[in-house]
Amino acid sequence: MTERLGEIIETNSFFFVAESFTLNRPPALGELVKVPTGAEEWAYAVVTYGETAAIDPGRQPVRRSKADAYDEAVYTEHPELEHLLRTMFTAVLVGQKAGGGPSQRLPDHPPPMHYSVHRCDPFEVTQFVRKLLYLRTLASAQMLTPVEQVLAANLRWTYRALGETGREWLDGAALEVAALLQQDVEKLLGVLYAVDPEA
Amino acid sequence: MPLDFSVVSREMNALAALFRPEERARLLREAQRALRTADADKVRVNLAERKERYPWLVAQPIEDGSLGETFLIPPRPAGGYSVAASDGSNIPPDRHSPVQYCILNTSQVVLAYGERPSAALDSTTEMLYGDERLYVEGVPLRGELLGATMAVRELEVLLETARTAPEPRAALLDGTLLLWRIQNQPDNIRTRFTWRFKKALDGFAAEQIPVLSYISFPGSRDLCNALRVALCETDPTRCGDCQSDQRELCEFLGGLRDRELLQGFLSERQRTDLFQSVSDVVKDYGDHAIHFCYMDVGGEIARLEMPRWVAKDGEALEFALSVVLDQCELSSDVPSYPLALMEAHEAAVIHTADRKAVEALMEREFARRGLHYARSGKDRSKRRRGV
Repeated sequence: MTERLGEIIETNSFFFVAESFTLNRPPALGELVKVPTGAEEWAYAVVTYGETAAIDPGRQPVRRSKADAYDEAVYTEHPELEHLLRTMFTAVLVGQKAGGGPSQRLPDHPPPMHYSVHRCDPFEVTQFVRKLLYLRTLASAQMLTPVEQVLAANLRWTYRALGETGREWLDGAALEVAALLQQDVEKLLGVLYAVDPEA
Repeated sequence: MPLDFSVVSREMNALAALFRPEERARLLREAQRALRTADADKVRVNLAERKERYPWLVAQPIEDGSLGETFLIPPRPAGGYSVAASDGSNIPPDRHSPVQYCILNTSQVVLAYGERPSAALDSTTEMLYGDERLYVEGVPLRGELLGATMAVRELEVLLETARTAPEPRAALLDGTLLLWRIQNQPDNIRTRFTWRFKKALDGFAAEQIPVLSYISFPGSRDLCNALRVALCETDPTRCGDCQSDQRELCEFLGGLRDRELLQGFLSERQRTDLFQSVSDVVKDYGDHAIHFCYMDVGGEIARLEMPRWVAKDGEALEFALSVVLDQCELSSDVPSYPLALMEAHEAAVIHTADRKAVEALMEREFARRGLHYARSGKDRSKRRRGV
């Protein structure tokens, strides 16, 4: 069983929003995650946005730190904050697995409301990113975070997740992004600088 | 426009002109000077020996010395503590609804500090219906009786909640421990409420959980009245004939509230001495005569009420008061208010959307059974507000 990261609280054919099980620590920007949609069936998505806010929209967070109690100590001094705040993340759907290997077609149905979002294990990541079509889906998605930053974050995250084979994959992915963003050199340079492992 | 603001504005000017700041400041200084030296023993003896009751509530001193003794509240208990808190909200029976019911929502909050900080924020919901639950001895459950029902329920739930809190622990309630809402009710109704209230207070005493109630911006005048008794040279019920040169000060005290007398008299983290309430309702409390003190919690004078055993147990009292002060300091607000009570309020409150949802559910339940859910015409016209 893979690690559960959060629960879906908003869902549609393009993306879902999930409440993270860990306050202040949603999955990483650009991380590949999955949601069960049936027996051995999964929807795959890339994390594009994270946010921590008050659960009750009528209550705004206020300053809690003191000279001798700040950062993590604020949470020790205010154990109730774990119940009053929540961290949410948005993930854009990029593929599915319905019998056989993963495909980079959008799932037929939105992932079910209140289902769990899981972490993908390294084998699944390797399998999924073998094809790079999903970068095209990601590049054309509507999102709050600048799209080139999400692309760069996904390339960085995947490079680290793949380990030894990461460098070879990154070269191919960078070429794919270059083809995608050829009309916008500024954006393209932004992605390439942001993913250069030697930078 | 339904409200004529020109009238309000004119009257506001007249109202503001009634406040004479210089004169008030002079008399307040004089009152605070008098409080510092006022003889507590004189007040106590006077209250004990007097056959005719005072026409006002008078704080009964329990120690000798002056009425104006002050004490410093100790800092947060070393090693941490936990605090349980409870508050309530309700949907009262609605006269315009075809079905009579009442919903009580009582919060259960525990905040624990120290090596293992934790929080539990919850509430317990009850729905009351049927004549035996919507009437108390034939009197409908609304207004003061509903208020008293909530007060009793909050104390009972607080006891259950406090039992789950890790030690050392204190329990905090919003409002007063004096069931004044039922003081004008017939004996059979008073007994029903005070029996349950007293039983809950017994529970706190049996488990040695110090319980306090917290009154923010208190409107009481018990201490001002005690000071009037201390100043009085004759009979405090014959004020019309008074020839004393303290008369002006005494009359000023008659219109003053304890929080106003103590603002600037107490320093931050200080409290007054303890006093016993002479309210009539306390007579039915048995061993749990309600004691109180005032405390400067930072930007406000708050009133803390407690049963006798807490007032008499120095260690429990110091602990509970330091918990209250620490909770106020954690609130990050000025004037401050105990954090546990703030969360207890938030956990109890029934928002407008929830109220509407309850009614919609009731309407649906009626429709499912083929019943017509008809509200009154007056209520319908208020909701539609057609033009």
